[in-house]
Amino acid sequence: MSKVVKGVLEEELQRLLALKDRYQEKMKDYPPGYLLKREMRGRIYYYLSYREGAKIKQQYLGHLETDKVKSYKDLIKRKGELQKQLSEVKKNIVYLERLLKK
Amino acid sequence: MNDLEDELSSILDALGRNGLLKHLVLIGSWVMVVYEAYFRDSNYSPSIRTTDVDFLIPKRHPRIDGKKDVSRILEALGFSEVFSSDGWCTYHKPELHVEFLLPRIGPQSDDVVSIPSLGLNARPLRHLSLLADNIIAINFQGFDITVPHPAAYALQKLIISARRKISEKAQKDIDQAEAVLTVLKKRSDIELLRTLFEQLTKKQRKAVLDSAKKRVFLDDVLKKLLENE
Repeated sequence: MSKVVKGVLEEELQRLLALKDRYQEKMKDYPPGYLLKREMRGRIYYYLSYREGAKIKQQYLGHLETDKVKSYKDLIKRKGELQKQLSEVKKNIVYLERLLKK
Repeated sequence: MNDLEDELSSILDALGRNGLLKHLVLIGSWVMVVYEAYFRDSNYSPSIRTTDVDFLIPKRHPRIDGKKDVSRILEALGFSEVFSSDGWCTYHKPELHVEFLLPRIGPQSDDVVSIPSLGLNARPLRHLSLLADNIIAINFQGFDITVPHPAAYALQKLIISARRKISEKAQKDIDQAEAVLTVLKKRSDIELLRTLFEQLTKKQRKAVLDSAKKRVFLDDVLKKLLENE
């Protein structure tokens, strides 16, 4: 690999590592897990269900208005998209690290 | 500084010595390197550069003291002039090539334009007037370089990303816009971003928002920047 190409790839790797940190930090802005709906005595209640280590936890949200449910669903969908983009960044980091070791 | 940056410096030095830097606007992915000197922010990480160095000629008839010959200047640096079938000349070395572009406005044709005062031919391209109309000077490695304002650059990248047919190029445009907008923090820069966004056509605004939506992080950053306080 030429020195020029290696230099460019190393810079790209640094950019991706910084991007990974930024995306991981952003993930914290979103609610954990997914929205769980339960019906009790004819009334619908919502929980956030997520994994913490080996345990599955459920955070009680209570009865939610339609717009609040939509807002949670939108946030969880966006988190999924961000997770996908983060995975792509991580994949590119692995690829570049492997390439630069050669 | 890496080898490619050394090459860029030698181009800037030669153009500067001939009094041409103020008449040319550095655009394309190399601007991202120059923006490091503007932002001075450790969170700023420029995206991968291409091997082409693009210069925009903001005015079709630049007022230049005496006739210059850019071809000769670049040939003296070891670049070979290459003519395309439509007369566009670009300058090549194994590591880099240099291209000159013009903003294409309204019904102007795509025909290559001769700029006699610079001794070169430039290619008109759409969406470059946003860059040409919003320029700043940044001191980079001792050279006063004219570049588009980062706010204009990011918006232009998002506009052209929506028009790209090649997805990799579209992603690269978004990478650049994301890198710039993430560190756009100065009040005056944010105000300019808002003003420029408002001045875009409805179609261009849609293109900006649609491109940003492809990245959750960028989408959030842009929304916050465009929000009125």
